[in-house]
Amino acid sequence: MPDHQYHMQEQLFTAKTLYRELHQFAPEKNSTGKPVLLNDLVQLAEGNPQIDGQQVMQQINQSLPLRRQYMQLLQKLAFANSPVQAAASSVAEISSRKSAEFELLFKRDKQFSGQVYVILKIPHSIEKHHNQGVHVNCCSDKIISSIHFPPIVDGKTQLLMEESDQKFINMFDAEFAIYLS
Amino acid sequence: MKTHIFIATTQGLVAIQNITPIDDEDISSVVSVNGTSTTANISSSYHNFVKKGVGIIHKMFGACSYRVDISARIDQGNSWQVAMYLAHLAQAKGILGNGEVRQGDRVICATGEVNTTNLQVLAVNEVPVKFELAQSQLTQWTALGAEVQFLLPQANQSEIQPNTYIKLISNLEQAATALPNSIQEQSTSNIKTKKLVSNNSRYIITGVVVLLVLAMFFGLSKFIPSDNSTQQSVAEKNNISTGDTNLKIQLVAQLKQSKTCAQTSSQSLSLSNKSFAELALSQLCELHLQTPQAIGQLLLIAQDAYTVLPLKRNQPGWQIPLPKNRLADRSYFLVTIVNPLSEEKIEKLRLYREAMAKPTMLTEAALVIWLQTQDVEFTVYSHKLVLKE
Repeated sequence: MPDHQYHMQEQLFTAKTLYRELHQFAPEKNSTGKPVLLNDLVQLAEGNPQIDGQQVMQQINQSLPLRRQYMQLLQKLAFANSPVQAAASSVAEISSRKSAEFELLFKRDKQFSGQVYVILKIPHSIEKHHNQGVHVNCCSDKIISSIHFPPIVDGKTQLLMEESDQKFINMFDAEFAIYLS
Repeated sequence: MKTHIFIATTQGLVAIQNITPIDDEDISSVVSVNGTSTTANISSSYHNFVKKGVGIIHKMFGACSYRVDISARIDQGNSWQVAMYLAHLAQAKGILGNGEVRQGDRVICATGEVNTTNLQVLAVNEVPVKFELAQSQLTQWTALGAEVQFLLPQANQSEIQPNTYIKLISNLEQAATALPNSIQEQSTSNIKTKKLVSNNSRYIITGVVVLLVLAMFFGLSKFIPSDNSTQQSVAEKNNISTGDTNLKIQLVAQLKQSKTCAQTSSQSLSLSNKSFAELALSQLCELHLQTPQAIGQLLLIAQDAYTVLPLKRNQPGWQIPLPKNRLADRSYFLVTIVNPLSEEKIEKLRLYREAMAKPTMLTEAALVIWLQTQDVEFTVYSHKLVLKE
């Protein structure tokens, strides 16, 4: 089958699924009473700063349909991704995530135990990453978390995090897929 | 006595609590708040202030990245730069306080941006507000018995009334004079010594008279040696000292026995023509230079960086810091000095190094010529740590 036909079929399928879900479920409402719209999900998946990401993400994690939609959007819109890691042992700790487009690694602070430097290297970043920074979405079957990294400088950006922070744990959990936007 | 450095901001004074070299090329320099993982918004600007080629800190103080802990957030602007430079200088001298001022301490509050090309201090905004917010603390610290200074850019002079705290600066060299000067302290101690001598002069004169009487009694020749013999004995002493120094100097490496440094074996590196044998970094755990007690100071001068570092003497010897996460070999000089150079002279040596377009331009001959101008007894050794065996 030619590529363009396959893509068209996929787009039609996605559109139909979203249309069906919009009609089958009442709009999800966040704590402020404002419903989460498809546009909010698109903005969040693209990493645009105009929306309240924390509130929308909270709503996404409370609703399976929203989570599915968001995952589909991430798969379509993400700049780069790293799938769930195949590990021989689920207990083994991973200290870096690599793909062709990026590398995510952490290093412990020598003075303050419990704090880690999380370094994100993107050798060929896009202009948005230099202005707005990078959003890292960590996705499992049950939860999605999103972390914003500062703008890329010299091909890398970094965060100082607590080792006990759930968002840090998710990033280096082999059972979480990672999407960058 | 510690020196506490504060950044004057429009929200009040912010203490620089601690500076830690990270020296890892992967990790960018970071400014964190109160030792937590919360980072100040000026982190990326500070990273640039450190970064070689753009900033000045890496070039002046050696490490490629640092972590700085401050007492409160600073969100924008560059007026923290003068204070940050002074904090690095104080850290290098080992006198940086943590912001908790005690009696007898020194407090330096500063505001000012740095032109990283010519090291001039540039004017900043809101100086009257910054000073007004700091004033109550300055008064408290003075009452506590601390020596307090508030450094302002010369270009902001017209914005503020002169008072006892304010010191105007136009470049970093002037700013650095706010820190304790070891030469001044030394000269103060000299004055004290002189006073002590004059108080005791009567006893000294009496002693000399007694000695003269004894000399006359037993014969001058036995008591006062001839000029020739004096010179000879000094020369002999020097020869012996130099000979001893060469004999006893040993560079001792602790090498891994397994994958970690839990078990090590000791190895003394061979020395030929004042150059120690090359050593592979991969197996190295610790490195010490063992010298005779007569050696009062050991300087490490990197050949591939502008680092000039006075080392500390521990039980096994002078500890040589090992480079971390190196991507290339490290060549360096070790200079043993009998009478230690003052901080001021070491600073001059750093400036001499930094005046070179590239750090690799420093040769052993050039270093020897510079040291000869300092009127000290010294020996220069060279060594190289290599990445691969």
